[in-house]
Amino acid sequence: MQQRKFLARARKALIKHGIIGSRAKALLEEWNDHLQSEVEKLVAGGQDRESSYQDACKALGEPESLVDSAAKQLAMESWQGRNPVLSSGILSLVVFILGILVMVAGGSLLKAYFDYLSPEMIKHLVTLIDTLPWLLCLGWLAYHARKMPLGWKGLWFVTVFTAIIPSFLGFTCDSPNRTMTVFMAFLPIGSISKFIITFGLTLFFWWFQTRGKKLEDESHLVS
Amino acid sequence: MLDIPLSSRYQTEMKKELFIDGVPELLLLRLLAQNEMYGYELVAKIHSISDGAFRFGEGCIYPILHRLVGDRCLSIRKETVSGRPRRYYRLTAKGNKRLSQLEESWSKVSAGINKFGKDSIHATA
Repeated sequence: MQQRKFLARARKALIKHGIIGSRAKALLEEWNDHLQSEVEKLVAGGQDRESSYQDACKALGEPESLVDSAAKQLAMESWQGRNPVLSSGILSLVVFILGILVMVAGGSLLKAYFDYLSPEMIKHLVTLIDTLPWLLCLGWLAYHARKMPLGWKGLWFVTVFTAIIPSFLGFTCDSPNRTMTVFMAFLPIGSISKFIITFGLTLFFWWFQTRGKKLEDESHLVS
Repeated sequence: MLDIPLSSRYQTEMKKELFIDGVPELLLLRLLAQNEMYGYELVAKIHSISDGAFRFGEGCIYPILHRLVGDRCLSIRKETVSGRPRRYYRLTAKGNKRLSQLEESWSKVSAGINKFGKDSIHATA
């Protein structure tokens, strides 16, 4: 029972650290074997099984600390882990450029190669292409919302803010005859500004966290 | 991939104790040069042979072993023991080469440090 609890906590901690798949499976198997081997050694020495399990778990340490240590070791072995600021910054820049490219080129390519589609269909597909980078960015932001000061409330605020403001900008820039929705902007400029604002906000939280501070749910900062 | 570095996984400065850097890998490869062993055995051997001077956590030893397997410095043989899977590690030819390189580096470091004996420092002062 203790062994199962230990491994369950370790599995949960691994997922929390983003260690999944075969890597997590290998670590769990090793720790399980390690734990059982320690128990067998203690039992062979005359100790009862129950206390052997307790001592073996104690010797291995808290599962969360064990996983934390493993995560740090794994991080030190990757270039991304040794250069978190640079790697995150470079990847963020690449994603940003790709996002803008998709939005700007996507619609044009669609109109050029899929001209057999109705204008209505093309309009909907262009909207989808323009909105996808924003949605992906929101997904990325949602992943980090748990570390935002207001937690999920913060994410709601950001979502609404990035949905409304660019639409408003699009409406003010556009002619009064065209209709605009509140939720999504149909004009590329609306989608691009939505993407830029969301991306910018996420980058702010990235920058803040890579300064070594954590944003806790309780809205206080912990170094 | 675009993850903001997880707070306990990444740090703004990756602080490593330079003195201890590479030592776990060297010790693991040295032990496996003699015999095929499994993880628990390796951890216990390091602790006992060093008289407790080295006690690397199980959190760091297994990722190092897995990395060495990935680098093809070690090979694994899986066996089922008392109903649970166990991995036995063995040094490969590439691992042997890696061990030689580490031992050479370590000899240089060790010799260099030894030159900073108290007597030699006073002599050059």
